Amino acid sequence: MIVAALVPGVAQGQSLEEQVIQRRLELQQAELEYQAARAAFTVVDRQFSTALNAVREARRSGDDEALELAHAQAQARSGPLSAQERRVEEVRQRFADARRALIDVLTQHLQQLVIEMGAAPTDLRRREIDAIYRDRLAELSRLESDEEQSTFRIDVALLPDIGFDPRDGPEELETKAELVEAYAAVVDTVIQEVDRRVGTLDERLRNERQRGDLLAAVGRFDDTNLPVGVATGPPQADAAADSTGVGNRPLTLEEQIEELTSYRAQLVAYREQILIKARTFRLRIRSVV
Amino acid sequence: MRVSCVRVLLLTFAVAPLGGWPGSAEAQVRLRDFVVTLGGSAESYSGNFSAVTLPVVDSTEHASAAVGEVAIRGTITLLRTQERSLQISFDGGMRQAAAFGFEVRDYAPREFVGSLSPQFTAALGSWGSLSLRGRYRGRSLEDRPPMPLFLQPGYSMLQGGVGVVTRSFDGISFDAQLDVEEADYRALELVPQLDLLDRKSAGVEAGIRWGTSSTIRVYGGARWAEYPKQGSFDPDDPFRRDRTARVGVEWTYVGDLFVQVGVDGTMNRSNGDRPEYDAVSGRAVLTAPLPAGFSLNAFAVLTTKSYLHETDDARLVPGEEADNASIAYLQVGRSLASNLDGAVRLGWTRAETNFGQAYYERFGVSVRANYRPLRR
Repeated sequence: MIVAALVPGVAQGQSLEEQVIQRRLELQQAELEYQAARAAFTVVDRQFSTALNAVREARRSGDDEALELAHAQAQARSGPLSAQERRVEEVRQRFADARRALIDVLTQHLQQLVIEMGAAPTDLRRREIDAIYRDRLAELSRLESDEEQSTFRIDVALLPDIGFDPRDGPEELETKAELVEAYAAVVDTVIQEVDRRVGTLDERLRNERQRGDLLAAVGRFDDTNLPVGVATGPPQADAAADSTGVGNRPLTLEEQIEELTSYRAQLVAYREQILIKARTFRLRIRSVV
Repeated sequence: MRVSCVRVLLLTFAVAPLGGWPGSAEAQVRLRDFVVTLGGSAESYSGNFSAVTLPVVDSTEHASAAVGEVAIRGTITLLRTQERSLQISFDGGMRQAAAFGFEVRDYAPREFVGSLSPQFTAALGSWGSLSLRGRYRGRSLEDRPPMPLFLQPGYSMLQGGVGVVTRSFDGISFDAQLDVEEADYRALELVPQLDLLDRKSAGVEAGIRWGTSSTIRVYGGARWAEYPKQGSFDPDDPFRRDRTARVGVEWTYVGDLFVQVGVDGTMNRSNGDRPEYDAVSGRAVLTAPLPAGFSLNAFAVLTTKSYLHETDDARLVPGEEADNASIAYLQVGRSLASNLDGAVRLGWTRAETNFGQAYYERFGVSVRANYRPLRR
């Protein structure tokens, strides 16, 4: 009842469970749009890079006419690139908003489930509700974790879906090689982002450890227990950093670093596979020519 | 409050993970955060304080010491799943000092300390978690010097506790804990005064906490303590018994900085007049990154007390009887290698009494290295 009064959707006759389903769908839709926008951006970005290469090539060859044409093309492609950048940012924001909306409704749903658990007429029903609660809580933790770590993650199990076609000529093969290389560049960016996050976490871990070292050292030999004064007990070295609580406990800094380091190793191997694929395209060009 | 309570808690702790809790558990024995510490320091002490448990006296008001120490600490995780965890933390060390400046002779106090702290934590369905904690702490001291170079005497201490922390309800989580403790100070044949410090106590504390990266915790608790070797000067109730109430608030911020500031008030009442007091204590911990990979760590506790009854007794029981006390530590550290941290630490302590203008002060500078052999 209390929850119903607080949540507009419920007041309008829509249950929290229905809202969860609806917002989940909205999140899926927003995620698809975000991925599509990123893919489109990659294509436009590649076209712009090709145009810039053409400018460099024309400048190197001293062909003024070609240079003018290449400049015009680069100019023409910079507009769509900026527009696509803005589009990615808008869609990313919508994706984040959709995730936040689902988090909000899940939080309310969890509160409702707690009330229902308390009012459940039988143990069996209570356990059923508890099972739903745990599922929702896990989903919520996952979403909150995604929100915190909004690093663009790549599915390293899938290689870019660009394959050979017997009809491919040198130009098609060149384009495919460039596309695959562009994808490798995206992976490089993600690797750099992972490195940056590991660096940040490493620094936090180092600081936490140094604080732990200080508090352990002053407590170890009872230096904080004076011959006088209120007995306050030794300081707790890990009181604030303690992440050993259970029940969907957050990852410790060490675990986050381990996870990211492992992800980085996968990314590096993945990038190698992609580059091998690009090299294979280029070898094929020579055989076609 | 009785020894048996401590033992029952520890036994419960020992049995619980063996089958008292539901869920599939995977054993994951792992040594975490194993640290070897080496340090050296120069310390100066001054004061005219006397303490009842220190029968050796010296007329000097100033002494100094060169100190070296070695220590290890770490945590063995025996079990760690989403539902349950079982770990044992250990900490031990030896500290050797060469003390100078006394009138009678120089001293070479040597301290050995060790502690073992098992902790079992289990999820309470979706409501929160329960933890059982135990702790044994032992300390021995050879060639204990007179004041003003105060070093805690040797003792053994057994503690046990049970605590509950709930998940967040509308952004607020609740916690409560019960603990029992027994401390036995090792009285030598010629120093029976140390027995005055023996105590048994039990306490409860409850708190509420809200916030995420910036949290506030408000708490309150009560403690009952018996000092079976201390007289109360009341023939009908001859041994000292204290009841203590404590309330406080603590703010913690975890982000680029770690800041923790707390203040609490204590009200101690006893069956004898002498140890009855009210006190206010402030505490702060700060960790901040500095340029060039350095970090700053600071820790401070300031306490002021107000005794309800005037006394002319200048022979004091360590650990209690003064009107104010201040402790401050400042440390600047830096990683020297991926598994080696170095630090320079300044420490300052001062305490005073209103009667007799007695005081105690300590100042120390130390250089420390913390080596983590298991660090990648």
